Amino acid sequence: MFSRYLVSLLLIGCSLFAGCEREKRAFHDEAPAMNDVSPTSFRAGGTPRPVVKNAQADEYERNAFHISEGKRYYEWYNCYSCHAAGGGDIGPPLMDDKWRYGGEIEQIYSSIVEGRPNGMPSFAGRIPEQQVWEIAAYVRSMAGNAAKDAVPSRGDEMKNTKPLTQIPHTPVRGDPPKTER
Amino acid sequence: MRWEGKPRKVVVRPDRNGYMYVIDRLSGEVLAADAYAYITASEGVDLKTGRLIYKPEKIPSQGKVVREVCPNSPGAKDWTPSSFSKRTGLIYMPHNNMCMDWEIKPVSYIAGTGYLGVNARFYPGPGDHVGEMMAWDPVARRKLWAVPERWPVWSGTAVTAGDVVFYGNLEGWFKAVHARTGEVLWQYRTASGIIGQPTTFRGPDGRQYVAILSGIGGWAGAMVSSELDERDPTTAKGFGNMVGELKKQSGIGGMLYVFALPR
Repeated sequence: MFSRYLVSLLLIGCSLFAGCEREKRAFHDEAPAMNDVSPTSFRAGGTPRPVVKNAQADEYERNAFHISEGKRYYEWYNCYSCHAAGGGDIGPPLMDDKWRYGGEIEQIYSSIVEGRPNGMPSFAGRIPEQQVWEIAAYVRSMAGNAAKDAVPSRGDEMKNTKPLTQIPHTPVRGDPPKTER
Repeated sequence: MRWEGKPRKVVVRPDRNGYMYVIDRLSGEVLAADAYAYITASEGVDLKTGRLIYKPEKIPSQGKVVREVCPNSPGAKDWTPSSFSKRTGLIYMPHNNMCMDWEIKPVSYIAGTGYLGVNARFYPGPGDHVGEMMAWDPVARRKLWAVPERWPVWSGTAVTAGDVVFYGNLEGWFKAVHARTGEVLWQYRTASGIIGQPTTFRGPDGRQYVAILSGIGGWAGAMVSSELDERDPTTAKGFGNMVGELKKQSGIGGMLYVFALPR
């Protein structure tokens, strides 16, 4: 009896706190509208040009449901076939700090939707937008850049990388990579 | 070659599955298929049908992780060409000694993306060499000697009428090996790992030259040439688990080296 009261108290308390972002299940939300984002922050004059952040999109990388859906879609849409579990294969790695076309979630979304030179296909019209945001959030988590309490700590597949909760935060470099292919 | 005492027209092929096939090239009959590498994935080859006899516990199926499958997907020998010397009668094969754990996953067919459905992790086979350059006697059907290598050997071999075998390794060493004894006679460290095929020719001045392209790449070298991340063992379809150290031993490169042989 007492424990049920305690549980309801905790649930009410939880919903009052912003930390419950991680718990929200946004099944039918509309995908955040996408503004024009540049793949690079490299700007003439010295100071980097900041990426225009989308607050709604940012929530995706703090939400457990979106990140775990992103993991499911990452496999479903064959991202594995070129990027492996973040280490890369015929495509570049997604878990390191080298981002040719930007590593913020908006830029990753843009790369998936637009496609990129040397083999990244454009998935525009092929993957629903909300799912692309979810995949982008999962990609962020592979480099340790999603909220650690929202990230899945283990997978059902054969163990590959360290648990995502233990990948260190990998800074997103604004400079172009040293070696270009 | 002589088969059971009589000359017979044959094709000898070191196969990816780890068996050295001797096939009658007129009738197609498989005369022999001897293992030249450590094999767990199959029992042998049925000589009557020429088919591989699989081990049922190593047959992959969806959702299952099959462990210790040897040879692994690059094969006991990948595409790299071997060479044969009419003088010594030996085949000089660059090959691998690796095993893998792999898991079959559901995969969607999406044109423009890879269609594989495999999560794999490679690791060295028994012994502490991951590759070797082996001399095999096709008549006696056995290995004579091998030069062990730290990494899979991803270059071709070329053997000369002077009884010297040339090949290169992924660290960039270009080696000249005695074709009869296996002794390394000479080696030269090129600027980057070697995955090319040595070519020997007579120059316009009448002197013999041997040329090799140096520049790491290929499946085993993708870790270096594509700057992949070794923290993920499934990188490059499984090589991520074992070639991380290669980054410290070879940079990227692309250079043609031509050496003049002593007169």
